[in-house]
Amino acid sequence: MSAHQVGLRWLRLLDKHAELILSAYHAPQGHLTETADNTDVIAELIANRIAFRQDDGDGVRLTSSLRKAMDYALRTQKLYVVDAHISEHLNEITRLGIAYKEGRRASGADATLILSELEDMVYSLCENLKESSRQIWRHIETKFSGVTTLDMKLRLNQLTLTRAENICKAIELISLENLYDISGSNPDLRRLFNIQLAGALDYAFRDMSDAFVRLNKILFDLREMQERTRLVQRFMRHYRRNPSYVPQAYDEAAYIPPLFRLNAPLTVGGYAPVLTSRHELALEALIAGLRSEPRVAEVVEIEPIVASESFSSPEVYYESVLRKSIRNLFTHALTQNMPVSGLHAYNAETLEETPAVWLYGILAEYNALSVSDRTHFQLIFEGEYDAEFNGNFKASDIIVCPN
Amino acid sequence: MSVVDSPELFARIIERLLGNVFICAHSDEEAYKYLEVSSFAKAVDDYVRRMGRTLVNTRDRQAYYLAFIDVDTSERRAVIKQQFREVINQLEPLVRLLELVQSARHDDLPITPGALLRQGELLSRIENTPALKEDIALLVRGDFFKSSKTATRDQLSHVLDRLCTHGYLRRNTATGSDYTALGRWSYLYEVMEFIATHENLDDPSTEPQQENLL
Repeated sequence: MSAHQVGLRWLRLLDKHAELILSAYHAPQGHLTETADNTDVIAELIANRIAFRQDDGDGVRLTSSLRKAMDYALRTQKLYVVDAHISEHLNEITRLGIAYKEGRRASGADATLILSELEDMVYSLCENLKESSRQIWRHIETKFSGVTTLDMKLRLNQLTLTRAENICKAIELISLENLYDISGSNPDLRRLFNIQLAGALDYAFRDMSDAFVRLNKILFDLREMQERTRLVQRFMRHYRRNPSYVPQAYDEAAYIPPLFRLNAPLTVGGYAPVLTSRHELALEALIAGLRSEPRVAEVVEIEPIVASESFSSPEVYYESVLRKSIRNLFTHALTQNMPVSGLHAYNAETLEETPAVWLYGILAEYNALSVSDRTHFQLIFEGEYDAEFNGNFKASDIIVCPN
Repeated sequence: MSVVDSPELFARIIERLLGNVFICAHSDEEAYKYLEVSSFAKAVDDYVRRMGRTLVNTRDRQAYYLAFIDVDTSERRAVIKQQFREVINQLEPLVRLLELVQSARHDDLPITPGALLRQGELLSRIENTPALKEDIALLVRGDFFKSSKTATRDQLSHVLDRLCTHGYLRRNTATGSDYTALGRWSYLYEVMEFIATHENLDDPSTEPQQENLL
């Protein structure tokens, strides 16, 4: 059977027993439940390196590589240790690099095989570093929401912190110069060591350094929460033992701690501070003092309006001198059929009013005319526009022109 | 959100602080970010110092409030006394509430500024736990959370509303049942820490240790 067919058979086996494998994945540490019915199935999984039986007789578990692949594919957060085996990978990579160079000198075919293995190894380490980083950042971004209790969050945080620190230390110990020496001028090795691997290590180091800072911050916050939890417990224990406990009167001390010098609320608005608890009693007293009383109906004496039809004397309408003079101006203009200057007419009269009042009177008289009467006249305004505000026209005279 | 210094924002912050409001990121994000800028905070502090007050930050920098600088007049001392009495009277009911909520929350975490409290989740846990039902009933018999309600749902609703009134919680929507804890809890924890330290409150290190019989 070819390698391709072996691979297909293996994948089909995963599909065939998917339910059992997934149940084991979700079980603690990937344990498979052995029953009388699935003995053959489990034997088949063990034979195909999908599961293994533990030496200590603790049952059958899924292999760690399968569980890791499922974690990656299903993006599951798990509590297992993040372990990059960086230094072991690097040792193997270094050994293969040297073997490749020697293989090229001896046999081309061997070198090709070694290069393929070396590429897999470099790829695996880069992926491992990326996956480690992804898992650590997933914990950071979710603030360890995979676990619920505070103690577990603290424990997981410390574990993750140690892992990030270990990765950074392992990367620091790597001698990139040694790898550059091995790669020399070989293009394949330079591609793998100088570019791919060096880039991945540099990125991982910076990433883990950032993660380390964030994890420390989260650890600080979690410890503060833990302290607060303990503080509450201390108080509750004390209250249970001393039900009548009241703290000391720090407000009566010679020196009042700044913590207890709270500002009193100032009413900056024009309303009663109904939400201030120290006014509660006063407000309650006010409300209690209110009582509903019926309004006393107001007695209004109504006097009837006198509306008789007898007119004792007719009302006489008196026209003012000003109005008479203005009407005469309009009449004069109409009878003479010639324009009449308002100011000239004013000067001809002997009036107490000022010229401005006279001119406004002409305007008022014109506006008071009916629409049909207004068609007999036209008003022309003499004056000038303001020198600065040329939208303003200052009229000095009104000419009444007959149409 | 970038912070711009404006007279309207400055006035709003001064009015809120003088009204004894604790400004935090969850109650007034704009005002909080304003006070996070040191030059703006100094301007506010300079302004209130002329009234004998100073701008104070909680140790975890979660909330800002005002405190008197000196206690040099009898009127001021009387005001401080009144404020202190209020804090102390609220201490025990709030501590009991903290324990209750911590037991009722699925994540076992204490209430801290920014924490989300879901009324439904709390109610479900309290109703299914006789000890917690008893605790909340005891809570509403006290002065601070006083209520005549007998149903657990109503008692919890009343307690949460009371905390909103006193500036400890903010209701997330007008009609919703989710609440966000505000910065005033940081001040309460500082008070508790102060008292616990100065009065050696049930310090585990002072607990008598059991020794061997022989």
